[in-house]
Amino acid sequence: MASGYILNRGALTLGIHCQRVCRSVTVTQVREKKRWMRAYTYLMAKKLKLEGPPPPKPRSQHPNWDYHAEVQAFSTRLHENFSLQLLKTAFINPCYLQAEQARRQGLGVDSELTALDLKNNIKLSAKGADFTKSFLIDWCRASFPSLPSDGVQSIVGHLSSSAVVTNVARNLGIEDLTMSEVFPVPDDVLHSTFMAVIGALLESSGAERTGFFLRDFLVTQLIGKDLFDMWTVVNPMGLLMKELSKRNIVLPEPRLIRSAGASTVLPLYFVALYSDKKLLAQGPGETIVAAEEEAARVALRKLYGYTENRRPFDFSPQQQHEQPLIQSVSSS
Amino acid sequence: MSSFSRSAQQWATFARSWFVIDARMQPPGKLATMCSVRLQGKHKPIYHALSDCGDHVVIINSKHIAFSGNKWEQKVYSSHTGYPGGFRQVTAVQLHSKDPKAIVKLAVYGMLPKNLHRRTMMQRLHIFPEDELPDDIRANLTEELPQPRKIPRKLSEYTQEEIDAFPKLWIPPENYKMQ
Amino acid sequence: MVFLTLSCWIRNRGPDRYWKVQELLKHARHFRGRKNRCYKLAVRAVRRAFVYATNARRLKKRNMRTLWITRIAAASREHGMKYPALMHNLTKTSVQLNRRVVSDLAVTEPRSFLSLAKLARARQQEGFCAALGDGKEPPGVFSRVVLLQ
Repeated sequence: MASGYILNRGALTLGIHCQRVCRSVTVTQVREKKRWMRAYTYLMAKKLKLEGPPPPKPRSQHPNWDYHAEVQAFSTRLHENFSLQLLKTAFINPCYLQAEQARRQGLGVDSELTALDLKNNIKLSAKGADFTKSFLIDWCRASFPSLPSDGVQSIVGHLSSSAVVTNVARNLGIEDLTMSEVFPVPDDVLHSTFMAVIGALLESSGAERTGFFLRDFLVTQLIGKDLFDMWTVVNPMGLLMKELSKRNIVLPEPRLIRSAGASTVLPLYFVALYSDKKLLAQGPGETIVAAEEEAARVALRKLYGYTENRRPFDFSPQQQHEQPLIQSVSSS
Repeated sequence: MSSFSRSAQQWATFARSWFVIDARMQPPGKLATMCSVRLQGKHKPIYHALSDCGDHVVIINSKHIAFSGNKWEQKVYSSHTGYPGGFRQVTAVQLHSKDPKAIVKLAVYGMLPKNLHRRTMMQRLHIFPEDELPDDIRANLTEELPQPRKIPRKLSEYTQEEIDAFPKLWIPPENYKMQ
Repeated sequence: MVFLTLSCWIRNRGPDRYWKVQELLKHARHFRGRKNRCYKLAVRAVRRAFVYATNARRLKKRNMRTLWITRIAAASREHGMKYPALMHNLTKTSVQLNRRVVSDLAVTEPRSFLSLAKLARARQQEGFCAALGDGKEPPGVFSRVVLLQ
């Protein structure tokens, strides 16, 4: 009766290593109170501690998974008109194809009879990566006209870096749809898949829609980012000198304007840069040298128009602001 | 204005500034209110009781504080040594002559919140009986606080012309004898 | 209930106390001393802790409001206004920001707070002017001030 049920259940769930527990269960006749539960709970906790949590399973191996419907839902969710054929191709990575071929050979499936005629996403990915790069460069040039090409490169490099792109892709749910060899999809595979999705969108909806897609999902990652977090400038003072001499402004003169706790372990210095007796920028720092460097950074941010009080980026819906973006895309 | 880097901005926000206040002819209670606000950090919009954002306060000339009324004679500072019969009561004059810092210190100490941070905050209070500061403290100073009370002029500081020009309520007769 | 053996019946008796104890000790694990492992001590401590927690839910609102007020007072003193004057004049100018928002502005957007303080200051001056009037006596009132003038 109940004991038999419990025995079956114990044997099924636990396997052989908990037979002892189950055997003790068989002699006890339990109707209501699950006396075996305590030992079982302890055992499972011990097992979890020894073996660690089980490896993550992809959504496709869980029940109720319809790949076609999911892909369709993906495109609908993003309000984009993907061509489904292209989108499915975009999710197929070469590593998945290789693994699938090997698996079929291992199973002894006739490779000629049921050929695996799937295309991989390398072409789409390359296309998407090219477009992304050119779009981001154009966007940066349009948004920060005075930023030098080094800065533009580093911003674009940050936005198309593996960390940012995989974060976006994971949050868009691309990871579940990606056909990959291993399940927690490796970052480079996810990166190329995202680029392939961009490529598929480019082929199915055109450059303009893709530009908006990139603006909405990738460029928004720039919000709250500092310029020099993305762009490593070792010697900001030298760069500032170069920029100022390019613009024919008198070279800056650092002055200590405020200080507090100079002889303590927590000193604070404010250094201001004056150019021709006009205040360029001021910056705080732990030492005078650090404060001077910080002031130079502030001055650079002001020159490049990347200050904190600049106008917010324009991420408004596309109907009203169609014109300028088309121009920037077509110029690429 | 503030396009500072995150770390620099944080450093500047939570830096401790050093205030200096001149206690010459000032009532200790008013000094203590100003000091306790700054020692707790309640003058900053980022104030939080647990974030330890108080500033340093340096009080100079604490020997020359001024009590109003007859507080010098009547104000009593009590303490207990802990031994039997160890209850001590001294007047403000006696305490001040023994230790010129003590009155200001006790006033501030009494105005700080009664919790575990009180001793820490007291450590940020630096009292000097005269206006000579050691060099390491002088190097730290940021700002001077205005005195809470305007120092009244003594009669000896007025010139004879000013005394003559002072409006008189009545003119004493020639044969009036001042006691 | 049918029990085939006596031992089975004995083992089945009573509640499974272990789980009841665990349920309670779960809330006491971070306590200090024997309270975090002995049921008899833990049960009273947990009860007391839950009472504190219930009261604290009410107190939190008060404490947060005092904190906002302290912050706004600190920020308004920087601009030479007192807290009551600032808040009163802001409500007079129908600025419907609550104290939380104003204190957030004071911390994160000092410029916006400065403009609020200026607005309140202007309203205060207006109020003073209105209270003082144009320096004339109200009609029909015969006062000593008029006599002296």
